Amino acid sequence: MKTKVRQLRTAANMTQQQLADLVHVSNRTIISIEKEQYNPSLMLAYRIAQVFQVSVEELCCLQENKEMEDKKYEDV
Amino acid sequence: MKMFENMSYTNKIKWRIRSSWALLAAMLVYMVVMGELGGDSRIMTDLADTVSRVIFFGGFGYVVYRICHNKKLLKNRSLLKEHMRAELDERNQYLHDKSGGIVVDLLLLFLLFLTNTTALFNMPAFYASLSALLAALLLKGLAYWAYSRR
Repeated sequence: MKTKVRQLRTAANMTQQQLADLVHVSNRTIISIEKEQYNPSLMLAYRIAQVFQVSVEELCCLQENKEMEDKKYEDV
Repeated sequence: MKMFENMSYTNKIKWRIRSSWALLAAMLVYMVVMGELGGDSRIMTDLADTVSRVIFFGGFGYVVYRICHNKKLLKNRSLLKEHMRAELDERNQYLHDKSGGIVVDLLLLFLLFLTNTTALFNMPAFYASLSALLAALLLKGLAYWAYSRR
């Protein structure tokens, strides 16, 4: 799932470790989220969104991801 | 299980230390019982001999290491917090669940016990058990690796 985590983190001049410490996960989890290898849980997404003062919808690009998924169902 | 859900991490570590001591005692009892029942060393192959020693003494050493490690965690708060974060990290829990979770962990423990016991008494059973153990380890490892790369 695409997210804006990397974009928001770099804009805030934050390292992956610093973000990981703020949201109580390992930096490996942050790396995996940024590489789109792992989808954060709702609670983790909420914590990250609070750090950057954005909504979960904006952080997780929910509209964009929904459109991509809908396309998959249409292009069977 | 609810008892453990509301428990602080410090208390969970203390319970793990107690369980590890109980496991050590059980392993010593097992060693005495197996010694009394006696396997026939004439039928034991070199592989069975080696594997049973590795499983039993390696397992014994590992449990002792875990006791020492957990006691060290209780003495150092920052180390305890770091350990807690790694253990409760949601991606680590996800990978653990996807690679079989607690069910496969218990299966592996059972297969270790079975392999070690059959090594003393019955070679065909030992080889069957060892094959199952290696297959389970390989499957868990492959699943963990595959999901960590997705």
